[in-house]
Amino acid sequence: MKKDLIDTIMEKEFHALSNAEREELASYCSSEEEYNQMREVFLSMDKMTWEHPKPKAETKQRLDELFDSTYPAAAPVWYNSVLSVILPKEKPMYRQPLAQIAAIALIVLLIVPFWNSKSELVTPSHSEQVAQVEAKPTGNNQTNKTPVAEVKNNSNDDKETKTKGQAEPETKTRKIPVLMAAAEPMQEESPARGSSSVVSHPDGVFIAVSQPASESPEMFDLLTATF
Amino acid sequence: MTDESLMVAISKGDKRAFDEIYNRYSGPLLGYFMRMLWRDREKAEDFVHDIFAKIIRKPELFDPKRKFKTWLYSVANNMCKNEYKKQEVRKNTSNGLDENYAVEDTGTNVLSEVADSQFRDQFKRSMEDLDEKHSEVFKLRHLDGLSIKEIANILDISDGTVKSRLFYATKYLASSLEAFNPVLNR
Repeated sequence: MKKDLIDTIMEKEFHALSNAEREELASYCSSEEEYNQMREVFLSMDKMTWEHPKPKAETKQRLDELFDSTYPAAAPVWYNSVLSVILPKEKPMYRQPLAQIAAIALIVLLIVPFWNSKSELVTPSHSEQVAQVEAKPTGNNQTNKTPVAEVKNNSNDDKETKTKGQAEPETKTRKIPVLMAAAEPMQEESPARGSSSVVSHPDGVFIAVSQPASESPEMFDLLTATF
Repeated sequence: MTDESLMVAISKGDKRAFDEIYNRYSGPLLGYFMRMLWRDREKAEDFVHDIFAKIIRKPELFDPKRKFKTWLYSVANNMCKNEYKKQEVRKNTSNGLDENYAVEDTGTNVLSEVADSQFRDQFKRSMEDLDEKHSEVFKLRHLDGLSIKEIANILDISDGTVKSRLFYATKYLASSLEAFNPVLNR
């Protein structure tokens, strides 16, 4: 507590007062005797101890209940510690670990789609190379050296022919005679080559000659591998 | 730990800080309210509850720049004023020490040499004879241990007025208790 005039009176005898203090006290004490009287009262009061009454326990209990309802129990310690680490209140938003992790995650999420689309661009003709192969069993067990499958390609025929000369999927490398199509009918083909089917198409007539897959081990492998 | 830092802790939900503040001030405040509220202990208990409830519910009302003790007694004083308005007329204008206030003289001062009971009775009578404004200042200074500046802030009066009232009350007590002090008998 800051010292005031009363403390000065209690501490000092009248003769020990400074001029400034005497001047201040002049309006309250007219003489040294009066000063000493007051000093005695102050000192006596100061040496007395005043026992304050104690409030009832019930009052404290009501306040405790109020406090508990106003400030609910804190979360478990581990939860608080984790939160204090990832969300320290004393740090600005951009320096909080949780915000930094979220920013990195956002960047990754934005990059991943572009990464995938880039890989597709590298092999643009991939989807075009997918062909539906239907092997039609024939009753003719005659050994046909050139098994033919009906090929339906999504792309135009030019591309189909183009794929012949390029490095193509396994069908090519294994030299499986799958892709056989022509713009003109091939009805003059010898019947000994196996059963054939004629498919009309706006671009021409396609004839597919097929033979049992069992006749050609390569074809069999291809089919089993495919399905 | 200072009262002010305890208040900051209370605002964050620190129960131990609240308990500490309660232990420090519940007794003095109960005594203050009993003095101010016509020695009505039940009412004083309610006021003690209300003032601490205010601390719990709205700790932000306390300005940390101010001294907590001054602020607390200011709030207590305002509560009493509101009660006076509510009651319109104070039931008991007696402003003496409460019956529950035990006065103990632990010093070896001249006053301790006289019979405690006689002195206590005379002191109570003297305080009761004093008018309210003078006795209030005297009690705030000597019973509650507040400085002149703090009393001025609490009662919203000037320092000079506090000093004037305090010295008036002291002179009055000095003269009324003269018989108990050989020094004063000179």
